[in-house]
Amino acid sequence: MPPTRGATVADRDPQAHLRRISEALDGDGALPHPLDPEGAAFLDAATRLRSRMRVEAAATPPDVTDAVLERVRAEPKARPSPRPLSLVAAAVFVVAAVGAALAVRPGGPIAPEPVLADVGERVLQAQQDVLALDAAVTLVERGAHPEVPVRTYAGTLRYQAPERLWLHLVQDRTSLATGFPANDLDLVVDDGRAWSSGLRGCPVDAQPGCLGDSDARVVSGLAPFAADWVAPLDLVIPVDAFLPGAELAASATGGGVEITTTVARLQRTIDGLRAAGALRAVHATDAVRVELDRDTFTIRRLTVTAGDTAARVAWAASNGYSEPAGTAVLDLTLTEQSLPGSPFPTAPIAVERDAGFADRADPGGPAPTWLPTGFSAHRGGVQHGSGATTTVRSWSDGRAWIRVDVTTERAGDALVGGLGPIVRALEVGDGTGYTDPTGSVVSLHDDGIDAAVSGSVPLAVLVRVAASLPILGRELPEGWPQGEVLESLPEGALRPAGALIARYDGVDLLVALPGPGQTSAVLRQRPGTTLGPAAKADVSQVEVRGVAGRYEPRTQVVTWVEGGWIRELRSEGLDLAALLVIAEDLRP
Amino acid sequence: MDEPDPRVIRAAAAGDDDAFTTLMRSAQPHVWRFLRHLLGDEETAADVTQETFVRIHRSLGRFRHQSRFSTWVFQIARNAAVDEQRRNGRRQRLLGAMAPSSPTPDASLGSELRAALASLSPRLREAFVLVEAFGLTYQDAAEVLTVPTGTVKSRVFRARLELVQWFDAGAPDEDASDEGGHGG
Repeated sequence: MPPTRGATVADRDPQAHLRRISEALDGDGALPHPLDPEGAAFLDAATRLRSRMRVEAAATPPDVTDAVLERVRAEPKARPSPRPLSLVAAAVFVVAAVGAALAVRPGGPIAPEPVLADVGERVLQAQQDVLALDAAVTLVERGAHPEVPVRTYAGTLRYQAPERLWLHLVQDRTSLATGFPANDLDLVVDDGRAWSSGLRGCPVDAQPGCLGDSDARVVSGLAPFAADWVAPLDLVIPVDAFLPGAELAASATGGGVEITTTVARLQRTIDGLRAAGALRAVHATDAVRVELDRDTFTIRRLTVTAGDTAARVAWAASNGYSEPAGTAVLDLTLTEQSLPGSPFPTAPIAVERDAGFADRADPGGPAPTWLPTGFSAHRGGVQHGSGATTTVRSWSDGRAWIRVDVTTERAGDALVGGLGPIVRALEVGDGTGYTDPTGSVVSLHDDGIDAAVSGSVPLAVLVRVAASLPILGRELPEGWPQGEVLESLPEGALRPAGALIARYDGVDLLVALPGPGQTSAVLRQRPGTTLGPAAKADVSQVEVRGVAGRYEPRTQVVTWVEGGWIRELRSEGLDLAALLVIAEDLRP
Repeated sequence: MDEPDPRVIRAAAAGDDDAFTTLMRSAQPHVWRFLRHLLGDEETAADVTQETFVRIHRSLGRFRHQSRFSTWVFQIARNAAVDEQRRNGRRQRLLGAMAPSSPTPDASLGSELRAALASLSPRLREAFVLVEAFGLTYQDAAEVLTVPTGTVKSRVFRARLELVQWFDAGAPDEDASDEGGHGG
């Protein structure tokens, strides 16, 4: 049929004609004119359809207000510090900057992809659905040594929930440098037994002589999700970057979700990759772009790019790295595919270390009466060592896990669970519990019994599990260092806008500023009016909260004097800009 | 959904329960209706509505006021629905059963219309519902669904075409692609 007079080229395609009508119905463009009979019929039918959709019978929506308020009030009373907002703001800025840089490509500008609102929440949810992953792995490593500009690897990653994982990488022999042995590596965690083989990392300046030969290290008797040899589960799905309930700006890409952040935020993922062999080190402030699968939130690609902050430059100089800023120093890809053969190899013959855990079908001791839906019993048993015996139970759902340690033989006047010196109190059921600044573990103390609840789940879940234990947490006895927490600060001292987590260390006042991954910071304050002499030559002058201060890049410390107080803000994973933002947000 | 006063959002983000309750009471009928369309049964929609507002409560401090609040709310509701469908699919797999490909018919809609909506793929259905039932612009729907605007246009058109065909002649063309959109 010849086109109607006045019709466009697109109208010759009936589908394009109908699509224009559809778009015009939604206020996007004008109706094509004239309408052919097919178009008129489509318009008529679509208009009737709209009427039916918009006059649907008004069902009464349920009122979920009370249920929601009950749930949100059940979350820990000590609310997390709002400091991560600053980090989110910084991350948004970085994403915006990167987005702007990417907005023009060969072929013309592209529209930025929409930003995801709650990727962290979804990652935490999705971990429960990851039951197994087989993937082909490639890795490109740049700048490991001045004589090794690039090394490439190929291999596999096999994972079975909750804690069986094998990372196998073989260096491409065409990327071997003279005098350097092949950096092949294996890392296997198979429930209570783990081993790794490969070269051992050593100072860059001493390579290749210090690398020696590849060898194996074997550990048995590992407790479930053992803190001293944690299966690098964050290589599968980066949960740690989003605990405790911290978000990151994310953009949707074709089939994926892309996040731009720093190594500090994804430290556990990077550590998992570097847990075997002699892969190069990266700095906490190096940029990371990670792409997650949009459906499963497993990692598809992770790229670490050398940064150019003063701290990074100082670190690189002292560790023998010389790559220019912007170099993609690690570029990892994971391509999900079916892999043949037996998934988990047996450990090589090697000296074996016993970590002291014995599996038992029923470890005894108190157990929680509440667990999140879907969690089922994983391994349990008894941990010996450090002068105490601890019963351990664990539960898992996919990659997500929860572990409860209970002991009647606590050693010393300290909470169990490795909380560190600064803790904060929480309401746990009808009693009191304690958590570390980042909320990764909940510890209970009662007469003659102590417990710790940890896991890859938000603090609110840990608290609820702890509250279901037959242990009523008490406030810490007089004299326990961790019990000397402050509920208020002396006049003139600064604190974050959110929860106060502080204690004295001698005359110094310590205030914790928690953050996910390695992005936590500590503010140390003491009365004083002058800074001592700078210890290092590379100290730079900076403006902090409107006054002159200084920044020491090697230790990543900002120091300043304000209002009769000497203040020192320190973080392993935050660069100067982030530290200054945090300092700005502090208040009396 | 009417856009709330930004002062109410800020107050809720600062921990004011009354402000949060105001936001919730205003938005929850729309959220529930949206989820009922996506999930197909009222009970599940109510559960996911509750989950949506818990997530909103946790995330309010991160709402940057750079997009419409309603769009942000729909995005979180949609994500919660996707998570629920994934969990449900997993439960079905573990039970050795086939995951349902279509939602349970929505009893509050006319029987023909609910059957027609249930015949759409989830991707077409969510785009169509946002634009047709809630009057979102293509751009706002694209933000909710985290796809390019052109994909929303394409999906809404495909949904309309399938529904019109369904009413005219019975079953829609199941093989039709739902993509073909371009950015912009």
